[in-house]
Amino acid sequence: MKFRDAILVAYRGLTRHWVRATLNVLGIVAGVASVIMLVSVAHAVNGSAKAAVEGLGANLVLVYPSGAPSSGVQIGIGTTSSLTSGDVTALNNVANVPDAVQAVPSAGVSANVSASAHTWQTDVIGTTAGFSAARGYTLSQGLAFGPAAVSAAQPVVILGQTVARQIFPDVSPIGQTVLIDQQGFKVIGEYAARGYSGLYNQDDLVVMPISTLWDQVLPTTLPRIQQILVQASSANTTTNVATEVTNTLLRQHSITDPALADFRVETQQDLVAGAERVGTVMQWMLGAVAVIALLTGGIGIMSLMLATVGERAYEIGVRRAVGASREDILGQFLIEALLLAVLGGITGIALGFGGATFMGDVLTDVPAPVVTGLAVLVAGLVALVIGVGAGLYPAVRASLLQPVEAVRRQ
Amino acid sequence: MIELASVGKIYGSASAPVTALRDVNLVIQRGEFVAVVGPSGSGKSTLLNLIGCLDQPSSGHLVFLGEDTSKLNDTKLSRIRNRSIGFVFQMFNLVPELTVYENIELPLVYAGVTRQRRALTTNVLERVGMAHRAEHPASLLSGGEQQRVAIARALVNDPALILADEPTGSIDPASAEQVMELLCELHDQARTIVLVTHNMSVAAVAQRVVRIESGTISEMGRAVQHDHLAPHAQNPSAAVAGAVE
Repeated sequence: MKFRDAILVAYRGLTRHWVRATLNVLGIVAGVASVIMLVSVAHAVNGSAKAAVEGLGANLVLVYPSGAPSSGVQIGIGTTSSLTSGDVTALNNVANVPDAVQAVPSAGVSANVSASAHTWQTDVIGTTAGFSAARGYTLSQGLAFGPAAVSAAQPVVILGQTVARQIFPDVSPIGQTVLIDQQGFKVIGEYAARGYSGLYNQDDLVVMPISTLWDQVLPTTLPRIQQILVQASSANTTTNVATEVTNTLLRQHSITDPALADFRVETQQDLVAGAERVGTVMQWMLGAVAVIALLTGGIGIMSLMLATVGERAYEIGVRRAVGASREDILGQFLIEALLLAVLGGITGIALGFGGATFMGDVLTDVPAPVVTGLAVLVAGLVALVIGVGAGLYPAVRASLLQPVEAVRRQ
Repeated sequence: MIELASVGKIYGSASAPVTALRDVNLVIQRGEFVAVVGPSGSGKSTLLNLIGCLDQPSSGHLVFLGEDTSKLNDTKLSRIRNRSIGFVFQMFNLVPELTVYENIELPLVYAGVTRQRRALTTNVLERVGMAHRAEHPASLLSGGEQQRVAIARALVNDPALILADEPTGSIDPASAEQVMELLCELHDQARTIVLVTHNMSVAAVAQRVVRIESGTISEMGRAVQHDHLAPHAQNPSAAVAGAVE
């Protein structure tokens, strides 16, 4: 039997039993598409988490207030204000933290910012003059505020690019006044665009002196620092800086046992590594779910093929009677399984691509899924292996049917 | 051409054996037209399946064209079925999903014939008068038409031996007459024919009648050497007309 004929015979076998063939293909399609989509979502989330951390700025050590664990209950980040302006001053002292360039406190609130007819909800961040340098922002126009503006709690703001576009679509924002909680603030500067970092739009923010935030935007709550950014002199010194910061703050807070610290110190590398770990675990989990889906498809194929062999015993007998050898029958059923796997694999890959793209277009709040070549390759190979693997046993069963028995089963 | 020596066939398990054939000795010469007759369950179909290499004897030897079939592997047996034997079954045994044309070309497909396939298939299609139905699904034909297609399929590889198992058993008398005429024609073209039937009138067309009862040959007509005055050759239509009444 010629190979071309073997393909033709298998192809006819499939098209003349197209309902069964379609069901088989659907099993593979669903499995492959879900592998591709789930893995690309995991990949995208992983990438965006990493990018978000990396987008924080250069060589940062982050200090968060945290409840002391002595009571047995850890109080959530940012709900207490264990970090003080005194801490910031201490961290800015070269004697305490020799490897740091500067320490910048920050606090933030989500608020509506408006001017004339335009309103935009954004993050209002109170900080000090060093913020731009620590976070890597540059001004596209206007000026930054200096230490004097911070100590005097001047009502001045710097707008991120997105906020500037939303509120002042037609005019330059510099010198204009914006309203935040009915309070007027003078726009003195505008940051150059930085784009997204993962999920986070780095241009969607308003920055003002931290004292201004405390006095005018949040007058009813106690002034608190939610985060201190400590900028290390280089990437190599971040670990040293973390140690120096920890020691300084323990001393500042008169805590002797580091386990009782009421603050948390993390380097950017810690955060990246954490994000990567979570991402990897997620990728594996979603991958496993998808492979289970594929396996289910494979089991479906096997049971369908087995039923097929039973139903087609007569056909097999006729083929054997007119001269088909065992190998011919084995080949026919294997090629049928292979064709199903290839068809299901290709359709599944296309559907996975389409689904991932569609998800990226529709769900703008989550990172757009990234279809990697590896995911496609793995899904395709697994489909092939499962398709042929599931087809193998039924094919062997078919080939072992005695021609005379098969012919008798009319 | 075919020689059976003490052939036995037992079905079923060792604990509950069913003897289908017992100590069968039979020689069929090239060019003979042999009818195997006997009541239902006598073992005549089993005998035909053994001769056709669809099944292997449990004991004894079956020599086909000089080769002991018990010593041949599946591939060689398949090759014999493919090249040297044409089957015609009572229930036609066409693949219902395939068209008439596709059914007939099956033996050529398994023989690996490609270039001449269309010509050979069309040729036998015309010979059995089914060319106009070539693209019809086999399942939609009448019994008589299906049997003609089955004969075309049996012929397409130009086998030396035609095995027919109750070929007229499931079709109307007119079709039966056509089928018997076709078989007689094939015999006239020097093919060996073994026909299984329980109908003595159909068997009368053959040169020799072998009777089987309870798995053994109870009566064997005289082996006829190449004789152009075989009964059917004198008046095939009359014999067949009688056969199918």
